Amino acid sequence: MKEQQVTQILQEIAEQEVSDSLNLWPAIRAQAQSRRRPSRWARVMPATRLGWAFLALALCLALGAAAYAVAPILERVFQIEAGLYDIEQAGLVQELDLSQTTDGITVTLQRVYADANRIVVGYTVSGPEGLPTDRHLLSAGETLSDATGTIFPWEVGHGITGPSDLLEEVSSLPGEGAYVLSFDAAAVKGAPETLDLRLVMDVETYVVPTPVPPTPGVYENRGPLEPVMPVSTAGPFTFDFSVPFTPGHALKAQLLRPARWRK
Amino acid sequence: MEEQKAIARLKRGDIGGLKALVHKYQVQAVRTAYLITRDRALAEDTVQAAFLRACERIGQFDAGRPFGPWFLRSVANDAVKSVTRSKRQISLETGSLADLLADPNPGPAQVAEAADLRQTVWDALGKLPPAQRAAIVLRYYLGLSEAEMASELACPPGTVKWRLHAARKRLRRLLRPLWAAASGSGR
Repeated sequence: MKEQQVTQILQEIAEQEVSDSLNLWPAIRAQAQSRRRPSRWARVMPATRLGWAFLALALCLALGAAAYAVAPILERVFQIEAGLYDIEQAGLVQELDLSQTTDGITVTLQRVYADANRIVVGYTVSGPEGLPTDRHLLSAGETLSDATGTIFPWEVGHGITGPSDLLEEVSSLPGEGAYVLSFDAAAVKGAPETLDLRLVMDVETYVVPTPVPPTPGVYENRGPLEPVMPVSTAGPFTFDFSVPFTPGHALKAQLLRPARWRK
Repeated sequence: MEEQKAIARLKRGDIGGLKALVHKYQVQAVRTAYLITRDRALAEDTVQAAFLRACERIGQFDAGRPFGPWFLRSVANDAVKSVTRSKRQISLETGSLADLLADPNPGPAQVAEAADLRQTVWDALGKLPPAQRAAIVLRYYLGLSEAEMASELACPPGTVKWRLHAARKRLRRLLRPLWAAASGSGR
């Protein structure tokens, strides 16, 4: 028996057992969808009924609050972090103004920064005019990659929609938000002058239910809180851009303490 | 070109890119896994998991290289792990001492009586350790050279050579009567 016969026999055995009509895609698609990461903002969304009540209340308050433009809010959100404030003051932040609109939702990539430790992107999201006040827009599935396809892992993020409980006198218009995301830059090779990057994201719309105020003195067991699912998804929003690389810095995440927490 | 587009889509997080890759490689991948695991359901599970992991790790994949060998290497490795894990479970739960001590070398009379050559080869392959079986499958079913196997398995060429040598030696011993009958040289 020759070795070529082994090849032929292996092919015959394999073809007999596994036909050409095999279709694994439905099973793989189902598993892939079930494995999809929850929205990164889900971890900062309220996890209790009381939390949702506070959020809804905050959104209601936003209606009556002074209207601030979204762009200045992004600056404030950017400055929440001590390190980001410092690099902004040092003039190391690259200003962009790249907008995309899909299904009435606009994402604007406004500012970026990169060093040996982190790549930071700041962007705003705004919904169509007349968006019901119970709609809440959150970005999802943000992926940052370079021209070689290297994906930079998401590290940390913060943002604002409605009034801020951290920044006094700051609130966004309903249906608008400002966000800053940081990605781990460890995969950057060497010290290039600039990084050519691509940011891709979807925007999910959530309906935040208006809570019924509890009756004083009456305990109501309403059962477990139902998970909040997005009612629609727009995107993908794709941004190709370049950012100067500043290898000398090593920016670390550190939130500023709000003034009212200081004693 | 279609494959590169699919990979680019997948790198952007578009699951539609995965669909194209599944349709292109699923049959070959399940056949490869089946030859190693010898269990159709386990082979399909292995390939499904390999596609999902490829999806998660696509960022590490060099888009300049062909996807097929990279993916099938991964499937072969996973199949070896699956069958090893599966065997451990069987030996703890339902395996008998008699099975474990069964003579792995059928005598010439047994082989001569085997009506089906494929069955004989299949049985012989089944008596190889999974890693050696994978070496045979990569070499003879997927047609990889020893150098390609070393590259795809990310191990020194010497290791691949040794695995193949051990697998061939054992396979020949198992199939010696057939080898001798076909070649007339007593190989």
